[in-house]
Amino acid sequence: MLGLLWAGSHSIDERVVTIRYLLFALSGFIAFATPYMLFPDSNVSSIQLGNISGAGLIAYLLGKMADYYWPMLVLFLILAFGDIHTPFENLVTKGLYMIFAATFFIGLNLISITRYLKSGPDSQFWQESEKGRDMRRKLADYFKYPLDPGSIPSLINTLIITAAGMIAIVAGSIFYGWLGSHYEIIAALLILLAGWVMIHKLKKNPEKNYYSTNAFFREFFGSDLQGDSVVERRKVEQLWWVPVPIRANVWQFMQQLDRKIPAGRVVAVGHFLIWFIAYQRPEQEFMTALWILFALAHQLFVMLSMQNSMAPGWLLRWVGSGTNWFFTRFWMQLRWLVPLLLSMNMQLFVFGIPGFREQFLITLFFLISAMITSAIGVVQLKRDFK
Amino acid sequence: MLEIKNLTKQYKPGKPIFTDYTNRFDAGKCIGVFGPNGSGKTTFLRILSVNSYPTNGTVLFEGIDVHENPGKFLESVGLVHDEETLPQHLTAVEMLEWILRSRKLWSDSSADEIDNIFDNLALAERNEQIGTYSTGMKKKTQIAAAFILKPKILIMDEPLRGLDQATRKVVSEMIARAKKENRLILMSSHSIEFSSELFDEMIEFPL
Repeated sequence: MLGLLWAGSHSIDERVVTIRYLLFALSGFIAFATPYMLFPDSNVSSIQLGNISGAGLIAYLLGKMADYYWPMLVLFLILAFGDIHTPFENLVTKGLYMIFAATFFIGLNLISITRYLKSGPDSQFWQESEKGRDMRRKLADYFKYPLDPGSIPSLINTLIITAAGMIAIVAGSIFYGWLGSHYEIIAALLILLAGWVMIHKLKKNPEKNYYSTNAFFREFFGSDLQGDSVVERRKVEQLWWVPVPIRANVWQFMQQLDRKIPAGRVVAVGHFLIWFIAYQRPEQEFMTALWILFALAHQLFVMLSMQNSMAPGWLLRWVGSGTNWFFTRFWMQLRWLVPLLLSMNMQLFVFGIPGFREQFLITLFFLISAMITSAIGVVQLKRDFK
Repeated sequence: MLEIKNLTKQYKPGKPIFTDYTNRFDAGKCIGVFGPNGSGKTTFLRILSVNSYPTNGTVLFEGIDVHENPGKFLESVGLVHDEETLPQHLTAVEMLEWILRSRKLWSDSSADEIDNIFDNLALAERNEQIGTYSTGMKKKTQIAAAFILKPKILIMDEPLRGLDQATRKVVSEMIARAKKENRLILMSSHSIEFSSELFDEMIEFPL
């Protein structure tokens, strides 16, 4: 539905641009999100018990990513072929761009998985060595920034993967200009080839990388915030905008989410990306669809709050009812609404889009998707009986 | 206080864990649940704590069917669950604050009460995130969360498992005190020396 709303009435040229923009944004997302999706792995005990190794372990990791990402492949299909006005025209070009998007997406994910899978030993070195301690001290002294040296390899990976993706998109559009539209796919094929070679090299001994990286991220995410060193302790009373009956529930979720992931910074990066794309002056429909996609992406925080490690079913059932947890998660999401409205209205002031009608639609998508994901949380809670 | 009528639980047809079990437990009693691994102790306690539903039969608390009105029943329950999963990005102190506030039991003295209970249980790391805790530390947090509410019923699955000797003694004293305060306690345990002193009734599994 999103794909149709986004590009249903686009011409073939607009469709191509839409796919490029989406892949551009996805490059940053893949680079940032991969370690959070893979590590620490809750199935590590089963992996050890089964002593899964070699190709089996790689297949397991790829399957884990596929569970998250298959809807994106459906979106590519709809963006390419979801043509309301001329569904049977330019079928070859549409097919090629569908393959272009899927190939690029799978290739960049392979690169990302490989790079992060290999990052454990380096990350541990920086986290635990004297050199890392010196680095932490220097950063704290000169830049007043609480960066953990163990996160440096991940930061470098994020930059490299984002850059690789974005450069490939630009290179593809250059091929398009020089040789014609059918040759843009070369850039995606190169990304896929790089990813395939990297993962193929890893197949010889992925266990060591998997166990060391998983151990590092488990320690990193577990000990990173000991003693509230990074996220200050928020007081319950500060959440004046939450009704009293659910205030403590919202507070504990926010406390946990902000410690697990720098949620505010992630949303800020999302806003920055949208402004960057808006600066290119794309079509109004494209910007509206992008805002809707962004509004929907906010609900990933609700999905995070459904993890057993954050919200054990037995504890949630003990503390509150299903209705209570529905409103808790829904209300928690309202904290993103003001920045969303502010950002949209500033963009309206600067670039003339999105208009008030579009803003209403985007807000509606935000609220309804928050309700749906919150309701999924309740269903999950009720199904979690042994 | 808690009445069990014709309770049957089976995960698969024709393979009941227990059948037609009936009993009644009164306030101020401590009930021990014993039996070998896999005999149904945890299933029994999970049903009593509304974390599992019976195949047949009812559990009544002060005349109310607990599985029909779980929210109302759970307001009166303190729980030490068989799973050790706790919210790993909260500290133990924050978890207790959250539970007290959500039960509308938070007062000016609550912060001191939380400190006292963790002092008793010797949990020095109370202000660190639960994700960094050992099994025993998580158990202490669960026990503290169950007792801080001063509930009418305490349902505890192996509360002493994973605790050192000194803490086991402290928890035993807490249970004895709760019994004197007229609370109903249901707990499973493997500890023989512990059982004889406190339990008013022992239920042996398989039933």
